[in-house]
Order: sequence, then C-alpha cells, then structure tokens
Amino acid sequence: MSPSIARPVLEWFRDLVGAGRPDRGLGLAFVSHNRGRLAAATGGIAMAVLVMFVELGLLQAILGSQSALAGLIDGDLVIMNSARTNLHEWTRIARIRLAEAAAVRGVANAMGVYESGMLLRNPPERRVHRIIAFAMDGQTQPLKVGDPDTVRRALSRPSAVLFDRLSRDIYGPISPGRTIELDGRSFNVAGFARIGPDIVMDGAVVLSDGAWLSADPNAQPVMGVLRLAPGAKLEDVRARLKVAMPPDVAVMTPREIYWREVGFTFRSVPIGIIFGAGVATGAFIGAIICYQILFNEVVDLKKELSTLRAMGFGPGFFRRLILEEAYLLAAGGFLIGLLAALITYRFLAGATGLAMQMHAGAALFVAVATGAMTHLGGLFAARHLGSFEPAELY
Amino acid sequence: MAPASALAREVPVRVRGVSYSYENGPKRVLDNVDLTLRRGEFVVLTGHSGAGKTTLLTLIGAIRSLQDGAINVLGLELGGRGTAAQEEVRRKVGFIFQDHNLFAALTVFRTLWLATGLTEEPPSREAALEEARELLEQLGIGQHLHSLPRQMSTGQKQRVAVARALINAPQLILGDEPTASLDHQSSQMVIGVIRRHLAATGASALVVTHDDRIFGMADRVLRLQDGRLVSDT
Repeated sequence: MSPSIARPVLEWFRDLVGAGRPDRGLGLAFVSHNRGRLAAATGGIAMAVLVMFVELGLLQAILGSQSALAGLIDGDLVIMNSARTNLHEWTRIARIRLAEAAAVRGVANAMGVYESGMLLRNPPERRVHRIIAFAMDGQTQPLKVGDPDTVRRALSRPSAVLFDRLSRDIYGPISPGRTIELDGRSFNVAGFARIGPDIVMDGAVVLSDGAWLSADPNAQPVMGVLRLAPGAKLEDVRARLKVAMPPDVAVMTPREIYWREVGFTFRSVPIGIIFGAGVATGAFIGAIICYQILFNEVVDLKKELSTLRAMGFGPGFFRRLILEEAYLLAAGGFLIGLLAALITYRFLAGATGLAMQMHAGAALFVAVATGAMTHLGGLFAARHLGSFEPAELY
Repeated sequence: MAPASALAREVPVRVRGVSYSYENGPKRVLDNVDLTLRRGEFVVLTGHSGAGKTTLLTLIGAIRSLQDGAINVLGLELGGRGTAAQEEVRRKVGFIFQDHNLFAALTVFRTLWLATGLTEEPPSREAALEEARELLEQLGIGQHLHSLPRQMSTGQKQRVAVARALINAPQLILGDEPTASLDHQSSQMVIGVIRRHLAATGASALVVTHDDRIFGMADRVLRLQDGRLVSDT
C-alpha cells in the first residue's frame, strides 16, 4: 500500500476506533504517532513478557519432566513402597506383592516395573554415561513408552533394548541395530522409546523384565501397575488392596502420583520461589518500562494536555487516555513477547531436552499479568497529570 | 428584579472588584477591576505588556483561581466554588489560546471532534464532520480537514484553534491574541467568522490583543494599565 493511500486509511481507522464517542479512541493515535517511542515501548514490554514466559516455561518443563513417569503408567492403580516419597527415589516393594495384589478381587493384572541407574557405553566410544533403565513385561506393557507393537517385539528378545529417542545427545549416535553396553552387558538396540530426560537424568533405555531378572534374580520392582477387571470399582478395589497389603505399601492412582510428584518437586527444591521471583521480576520490569514510557509521553505533551484541561476535560478523561495507551502497548508487547517466547521455547527444548510447551493457562496468566503491569504503570503516569495546572500555559 | 438565569443570559460576564497578585510578585497585576460583558458584544481588551490583560482573561475563563473579588460567568460564580465550577465554566467557554497547542498526533477533524466531547450531548461523528467542514471552510482551511498539524502553517494552525473554540457554539468566546500569527486578510476573516457566530447565536466575545487592526471591528475597546481599567470606548 502506497503512503498516499495508507495515510487516509490509517486516519480513518484511528477516527473509527473512537467511533460514537469523540473523547475515546485517542490512545491509538497517540501510541502510533511516535514510532520510535512505540518501538521502544512495545520492545521493552515484549522483553518483560518474554522473561515471564521463559520462567513459567522452565517451571512447567521441570515439573513436567520430573513427573513424566506418572504420565507413562498404563494402569488404574499403582502399588509402591510407602517410604517412596517421589518417583526419583527407588525404594522398592517385594516382588511377592505383585502376586498378592493380583489375587485381590477386582484386579485383573499386576505388572512389575523395575528401574535403576546403569552405565551405558556406546562402542567404539570408551567413555561411559549414566542412564536410567526401566524394565517391564513387553506383552502387558505397564508403561506406555512407544508403539505397542514395536515395544512388544523388541522386549520379546532378552538381549534387546529400546533407546529413548528424546535422550540428550551425550550418548552419541544410537540407532536400531546398534550394539551398546549396559553395566558391561551387550544389548542390541531394537528400536526407540519416547520417555524424555529430566533435570537430573539425561536419557533412558527400556529392557524386558526377563532380561532384568536374569541379570539379578533377586531384583525387586519399584512399583506394581494394576489393571482392574471389567466392572470393578476403583475405590472398592483400592480398599481391598489396603487391607491385603502390609502398611509399607501405598496404593495410589497414576493421577495422584502425578500431583504428589508436582507437589514434592515444588516443596523439595524451591523452584516455585525461584521461578515465581523471575515472573514477578518480569512483571515489575514491564510496569517500570510502561510507566517510564507513558511518563515521558505525559511530560512531552504537557502543553497540549494542559490545553485540554483548560478546555474543561476532567481527570477521568486523562486517566482513560493514558490507560488506553497502556493497554495498547500491553497488547502489542504481549503479542511480540508471545512470538519471541515460542521461538525461545523451541530453542530451549532443543538445548535441554525438556518439554518446553506453550500452555493456554500460562499464556492467559502472562496476558493478565501484562495487562496488570501496564495498568499499574499507566496509573502512576496518569497521577502526574493531576499536577498539571492549565494556568502554567501562561 | 430579573431572575438569575435571565441576568446571566443578558450579562454573561460580570467582574466585581477583582485583584490578583502572583506569588513572589512585587505588586498587584490586577487592582480592583470591574467589567461587564453584555449579550452579543464583541469586546477587545488591550494594554501594554504586563498590564494584566491575560491574567484577567484567564480568571474569567476559570483557568486561574480567583484571589479577591467576584466573577460570574454564564451564571456561575467562580469565587469560592472550587474546581467543579471552574471545570463547568471551562466546558462552556470557547477559549482561543495564543499558542494553538494542537496535538501532533491528531488530525484537524479529530481535534475538533474531541472538543465536541465537552458538550452534554456530543454530536455523532457524521454530524461533527459536517460541522467541522463548514467551520473550516469559513476559516479558509477547508482543505485541511484531515491534515495533521505538521502539514499546516502556523497561521493555519491558529485558525484550527479558533475552530476548536467555536465548534461547540459557546455562549462566551475568550481569545488570547487570536490573530497574532495571522496576516491582515486572515485576521479579518477570523474576526468576521467570530462576529457572524455572535450574530447568529447571541454569544459574546472578549478578546485580548495588541493588534490595533481589529479595534475597529469591536463594539467596545477596554484598556488596562497597571492592573486597572483606564478606558472603555
């Protein structure tokens, strides 16, 4: 669009925004008039928005990765050692508990999940790297770690292993058909699983429980995943399990495990405080930037605004005008910040292996925080208008 | 005795015993000034720089707060009434400022339409557009309806300021050197527009000026000297 056409269109749109009310819709005209200031203001607010998004994204990614295992459980109930306060602590239960649980009325299946740290060597590389190893029955698959058929086929062979495709790349190139060593034993990579690293562990492999028990016949599971018989009521089965199991066995649903894990992560590491402070800092910076920009605007337009006061426009008009500008800056800054956050999330996900995802709840939270911070900045800037005396024009 | 509203209509401005001193000022800028402006009158207020002309004008326009004396504008007593009365007077008066102080971001039409927001029942955008177009045509700047201030000369901007003061058809027009940045022909045109407005609406105007070219177009010329009204011709 040529400038000669663009200008009348812009003017028409500016006037239209205030359609119906002559004293409304001026914010757009004021905000868009000084393009340098507009760029600085939206850029500054976008930066504050980006800070908030990154802090929230990292918090969600950490919480998500720490509790990811709970999301992989493919069952109705889980039994685990009651001393096991979080999923990264491998306090085990006696294997006999699986048989005892399977005998409880309403339980169709009780499947053991084994988990431990192992040392992985990817020949000809000589160095070893620590990796998490899971073991389970490939037929019943108590954990959803990938395509069921691939998992079933792979875990039917005792020397086969599934490598987590989302593992960090410290392990070197690993693809199906390759032979790797786990704690000195050779395994053939039969395919890929999808589990994902967390802030402590870099990757994972999945073995069959047969391979696990052949290496250590006395191995005990970290949890038992139970599937209910058709028609069985979860709470009834849970009650029966509590009676049947000794007191050191806890009975929980996968969802309860997930929220317990989120709560534990929040409490044990002060990430809530750390990232919360980051979000608050972002919002504070945004409010300061918004205040500074609008304050400069008010000072620069002192004579014009004083003229309007001399004409009879009251404090409400000026407050509305400044807030209108503040909201427009907030909207522009939020959209740019959101775009920048999506790009940053992509980069961070690639660099850390953490699941950085934009959630609607987080976007809504940041949008509200952006509106609040610019509202605050606008109100403080508008306060200066109260000190303007039209008599100062003379 | 005439009712107050009828009196206000016939005498839109009554100034009684008004004195004014600036903070830290050595002397009174206004000293016991009495002044009456009648319905339909076009009055010029002149005098040397520092005589107190603009101070008196801004007191009448409720831009400055009264210290001593009493001022009644369009039936509203300014003395002791506070900000609410001041804002009401400001809304009812059409004030032409010496510096036009137009917003760089607003087109001429948007400036005029904004001013209509001061009325109790603002006109629609379309009605305001028609009104603005007509007024600007009368002032010789009809082609600048959608111009920004930077696209206009100082004189044209001053005429926009005049249009802004007239758009709400006020009952009282106060002008502070409204022709200062205009050539003779433009001055004649602006004063002519103001006079036509007075004739059509019965409004009154008080204009502070040094421009003796417009004295002849006034009904009365008041002269201030050292804060006192010394002549009324």
